[in-house]
Amino acid sequence: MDNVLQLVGIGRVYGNGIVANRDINIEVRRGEIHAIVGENGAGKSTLMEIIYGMEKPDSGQMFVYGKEVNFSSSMDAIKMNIGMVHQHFMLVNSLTVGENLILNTPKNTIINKRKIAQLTQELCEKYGFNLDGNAVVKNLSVGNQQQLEILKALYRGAQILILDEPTAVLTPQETEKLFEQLKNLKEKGHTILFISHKLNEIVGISDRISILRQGTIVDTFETSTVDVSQLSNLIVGREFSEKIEKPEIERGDVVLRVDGLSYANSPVKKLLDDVSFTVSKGEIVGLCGVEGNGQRELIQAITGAIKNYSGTIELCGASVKGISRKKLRERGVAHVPEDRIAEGLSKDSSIADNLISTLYINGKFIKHKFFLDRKTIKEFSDEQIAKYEIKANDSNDIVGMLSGGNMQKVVVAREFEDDPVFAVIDQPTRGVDIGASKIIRDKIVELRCNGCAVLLNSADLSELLNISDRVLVFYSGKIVADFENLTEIDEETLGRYMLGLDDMFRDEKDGQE
Amino acid sequence: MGKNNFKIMLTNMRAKLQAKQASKSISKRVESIRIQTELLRTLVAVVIAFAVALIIILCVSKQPMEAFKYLVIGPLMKPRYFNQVLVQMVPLALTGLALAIMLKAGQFNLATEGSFILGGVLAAFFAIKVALPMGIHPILAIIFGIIGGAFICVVPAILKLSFGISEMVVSLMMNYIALRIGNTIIRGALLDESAGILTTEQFHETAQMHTIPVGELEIQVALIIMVIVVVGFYVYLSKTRSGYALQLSGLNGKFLAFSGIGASGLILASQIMGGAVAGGAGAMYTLSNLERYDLVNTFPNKGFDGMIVTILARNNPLLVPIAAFFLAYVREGAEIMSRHTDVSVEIMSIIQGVIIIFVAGQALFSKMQNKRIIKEVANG
Repeated sequence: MDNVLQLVGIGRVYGNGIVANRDINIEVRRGEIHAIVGENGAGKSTLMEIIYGMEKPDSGQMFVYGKEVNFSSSMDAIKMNIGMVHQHFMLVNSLTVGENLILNTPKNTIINKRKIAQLTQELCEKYGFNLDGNAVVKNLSVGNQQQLEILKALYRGAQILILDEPTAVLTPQETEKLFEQLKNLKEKGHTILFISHKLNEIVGISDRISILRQGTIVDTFETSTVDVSQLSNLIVGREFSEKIEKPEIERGDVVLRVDGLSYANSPVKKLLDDVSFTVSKGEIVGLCGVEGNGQRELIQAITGAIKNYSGTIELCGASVKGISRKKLRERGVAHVPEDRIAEGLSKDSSIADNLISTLYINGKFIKHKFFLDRKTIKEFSDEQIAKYEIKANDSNDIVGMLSGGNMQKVVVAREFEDDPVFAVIDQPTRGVDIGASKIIRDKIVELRCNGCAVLLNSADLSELLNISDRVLVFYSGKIVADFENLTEIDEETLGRYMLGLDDMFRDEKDGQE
Repeated sequence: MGKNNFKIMLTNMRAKLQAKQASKSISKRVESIRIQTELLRTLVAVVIAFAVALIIILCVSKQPMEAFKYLVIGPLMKPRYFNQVLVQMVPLALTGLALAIMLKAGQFNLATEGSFILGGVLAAFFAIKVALPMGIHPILAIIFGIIGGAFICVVPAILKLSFGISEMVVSLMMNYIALRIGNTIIRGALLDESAGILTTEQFHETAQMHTIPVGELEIQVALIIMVIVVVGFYVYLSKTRSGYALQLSGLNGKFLAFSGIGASGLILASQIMGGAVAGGAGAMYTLSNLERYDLVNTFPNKGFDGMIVTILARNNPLLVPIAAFFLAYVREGAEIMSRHTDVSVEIMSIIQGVIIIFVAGQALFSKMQNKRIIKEVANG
């Protein structure tokens, strides 16, 4: 087999001194599905961006079809038949499927609606997709938007297709469909580079696997030679078990009570529609659902980011409506935010400074009233670094230089260390490698065992099923399922509720109307 | 023999340095590579700037070598010249620091020019209109100037926090307001009718700030105060709880809010501090160097020059005095050159401009730096 893509000694350092890639050597063969795996911060995304011409390497050479290339932008990569589907879609939401397809392609200078629809139709038939050329993108499901992204890349002539965590936002059903299409493309001779954290998917679909660790490729091998557990050991670099120990404990008093919560940001669409549930002491309640079905708004309402909702949210019997973030924290609410870099951290500050931001207000780490007690801060930080296995040289390391998983450990360490009464944990392991994920999940369970009430929102279904005591499924702003006994359900069942095919309370609701 | 010994010593030193380097953690080593690159970038910028200046001097001057000599070592030729460097350095360092304080809170407040002017005029007002004993007089005059300076810089922050108006636009406008308020005060209350030019009456003797003779140099009290302010602000930023929060507000305001710390108070406080420092700088400059305050219709640029200092110092308070000294040195050199030769003082602006371009140009040497970092990380 011939190599369509070859990288020799590629290195990339970011302006702030973070080494994203160093001495990367990789060969990608024609017509294979090549999975790139590695812990978060290992440099996968940077590597893909270099291949797609979005980042310029500081060292090394890159060959496409045996010819050395030097991309100055992604336009150059597209010309060399490389296409990329980003984790966050690059679509114009207000345009139609067909319009997005032909956007910025030199072949079409005059736009003709009928022709565009026809073109979409032809492309869909050719590649076995199912999209309506006249549908407006913002009305498409996440899965369909992703299909459009792939189709867009193919229309621009992509022979080498890069997919950055394509399954992170998909339901199990959509994932299955995607994989079928990928296999189909492979048969047509396309080469696919595939980034994922989900090991069983990787083992299921890829032909070969390359492992990235600390910015460099440590190993490339045939998928058939490994199984999931071997793969996880290879990624982490040591013996590793994903199993979570979760003792059974008694559920305590109700801590959070949400009653009749509704919220709409426009008169037309209700983002939350009469949501009621409780979270008790020593209980982890999981929120499940395709993104954009009300989970985010629920969390925003609880943490005070949304204030103009109707219904009540009570914490230990007292309403939290309109109270400040500071008061919320004083009442024992911990929050692990979805976007850890934008909200949860100051990435240009040290680990120590990030660990004390919520704690120093109530007098800890202060001496002579005005001064920070750097000595106790250092002791505390070193303790947390050891306890949460944060990989760093010392507490003075800048957080931005840590990997994603270790950044998240800093957030979790800070939020969990203050004996919270109630913890809102939003996507704790999204984009976090398996090693760090395990530690974070263990700590969530430990928190619950210490009597904290936990509300967990996660797109990772196996995580939800493994550590939650109860799972609520959201569909279009409503709770459509409430599972108490999690041993009896599987991801497929959850998937049906997530897509709105089933609704536990449909009869009830019909009865009301 | 001696040469050999020297060689051995050099090898030993290098080995020690390398061992010390290796014992440091990777992040520290990466950090030191970055600092080295920054130093190199600054050095190269200075060399290029002077080279450009030399070329221009060669083109325009009949005595180019003479002119270049004055430009480069002029300030060192007489104690009087060097004194002048120190005198110029004080307001530059203080306005640079003022800007750095406000930038730390993430605010691009450019009203330091206005604060400097109003601080100076109010100090002049106090020095003329009030009679007080020596010692207390300048202190109260400076406090008066500090209040005026703080007022000018806090207005943009208040408007931003209450109405979301860009602080940059408002602060630039505040400079004009300060200039006109200053002129109005001078015209309305302080003008000396008997003087031939538009200037104030003479300050009371008691209000003058003095100098302390050290050898052949005259050290201004203002210089000592400047050093104290710089050190004080450094301690504030790195050691106090409020300084900690202030830095966070500039680095990631969302994170600050997320952590339950209100940012508005910090933003206001930082703008008040910045304005106070700039106002104090204006007051001290007036009381140290002037006997009358001349009416001006254009900006004296002391506050804007603070921006150059802040950029050169990379917003690091401890580097501010060094950057200010450097800038004052170049200016004094250009001044001396223009007095002794046929090259005009404006050459200084060219040097300044070239240095800023290269210092701000982050891409310069970044490839070299990144290659070194890659190597360092690969080794360790």
